[in-house]
Amino acid sequence: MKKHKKSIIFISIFLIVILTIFIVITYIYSSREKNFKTNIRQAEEVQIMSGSTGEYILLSKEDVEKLADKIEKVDFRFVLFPEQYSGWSYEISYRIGDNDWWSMVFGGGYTQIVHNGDWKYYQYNQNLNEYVETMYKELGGK
Amino acid sequence: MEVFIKKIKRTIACVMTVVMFLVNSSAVFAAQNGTAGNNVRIISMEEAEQAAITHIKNVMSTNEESLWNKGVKIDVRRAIFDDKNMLECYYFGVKDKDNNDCGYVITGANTSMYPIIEFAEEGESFLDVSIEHVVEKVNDMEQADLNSKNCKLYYMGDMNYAVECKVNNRDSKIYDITTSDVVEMEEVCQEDEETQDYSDMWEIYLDMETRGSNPPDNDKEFITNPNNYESGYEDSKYYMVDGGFIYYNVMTDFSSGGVCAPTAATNLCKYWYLRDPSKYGDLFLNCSWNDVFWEMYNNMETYARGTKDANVGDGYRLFFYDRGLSCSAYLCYGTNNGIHIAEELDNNRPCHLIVHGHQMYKEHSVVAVGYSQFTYSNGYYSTYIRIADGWTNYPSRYVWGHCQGNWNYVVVIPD
Repeated sequence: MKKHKKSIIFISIFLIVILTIFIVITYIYSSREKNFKTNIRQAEEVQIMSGSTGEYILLSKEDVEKLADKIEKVDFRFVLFPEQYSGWSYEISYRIGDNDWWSMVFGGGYTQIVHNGDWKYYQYNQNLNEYVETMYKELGGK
Repeated sequence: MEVFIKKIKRTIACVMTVVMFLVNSSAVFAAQNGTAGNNVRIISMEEAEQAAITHIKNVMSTNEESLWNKGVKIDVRRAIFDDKNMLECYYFGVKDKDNNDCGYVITGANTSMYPIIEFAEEGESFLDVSIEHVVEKVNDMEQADLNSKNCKLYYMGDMNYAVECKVNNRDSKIYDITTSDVVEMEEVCQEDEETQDYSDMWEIYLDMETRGSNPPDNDKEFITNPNNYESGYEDSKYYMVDGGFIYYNVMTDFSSGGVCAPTAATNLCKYWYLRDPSKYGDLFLNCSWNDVFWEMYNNMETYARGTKDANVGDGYRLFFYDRGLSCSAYLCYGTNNGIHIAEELDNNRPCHLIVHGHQMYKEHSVVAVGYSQFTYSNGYYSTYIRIADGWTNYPSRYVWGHCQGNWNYVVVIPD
């Protein structure tokens, strides 16, 4: 009976630790996503860069609002153990203040939200990728 | 009475205070006026020599053909003045290990001048040669027995020099060293130009000995000349695979989206084809690089969202095999800050480089065709890989081995 008690306690502690880790990771990933969505509206300058040419275009305030509305509706599902891909199509990037860099990269197998060089991986969202591509091309991007 | 005296004392004290304040203020203003427009700092000969050495190192690492690469030393040091006896520049004669003349470097002598005025990488100093010509001409014309040591060299600004010679105890004359003609000093003298401030440039040149590596690692600036970001290194090496500088294809030649891996693979095949068409002629599938691209696209199981690193080697092997050729192609994880790539390139073959989390290139495949490597006395290596990036046709850009993110690479060895 004592042995059972011990193993139950051990399993409970283990589950609690796993659950805590999961909650922490979920919180980190979801806050990254939320912050990106919120901050993009405050950015003075938002640009879309093409992964095919390395060129970029700047968005007007109106376009930023449209893009922010679109991103707002997307539910990003995080990926814990991403595989390594090369190749990306577009990147949305902006800066808040002097040292706060944000970007969203489509490709490399995923949608990635990058904050000051720290990359977090989310499931690839083709719909949003196509929306960004259309916007880039409509604004004269090559 | 005492009160009256006190009042007088106070009044005098107040007046004195005001007078002292005004005197001091005017002294301060005078001092300020004295320094305004006089922010030019005189550069000592030691500092100028340091700038010259930095310049020589820069040239050595950028120009493979330079005679300076065989090892040189500064052998002659000379200060050059203008006609008003103001220090204008420094001349440093360079000699090689065998004591042969190997060019020179002329630096400015104050911060209103650009650090390096001019230089040559080979031969005798044009100044010495020109002075000799002037002396010869003067001796011929004036029946004199003049020696170049009796002549005084002046720097007249804007890369103009003049020599003053005193002939047969008569009045001295000024000769332009380029034409050996007699000129009036007013003709030679340049008009006073607006004073420039090159303090920043001097700081860079003088600070370089301790600066180390400082390349841009952002999404705005491409690295096209690694030498701009390195200083104080012990040794440097530049290498490019044979025939690496060719016209490569860009991604948009074929498709859009995450197609960098098949584009890089196509470019690598193009390289081998052009290097030895008789041996690798079959790599040029249907005489169309577009066809090669789409074959690679399928072989590597590329989708719009990219290509898995693990599939790249298979793509090459399959493509070579289908063309009746064979190759070894395998993926290597990590590059030890670019050092492994440099080692692979030393085998005189390009490789397929994959960068992850790069500030500029994000998740990108490129062809590595060369490198610049700087070695520091503490054993630190700073390696820049020269790449065909799929965005431009010529390999004019570099990625830095210590940049953010991580790299993998695929070794491709055609049999």
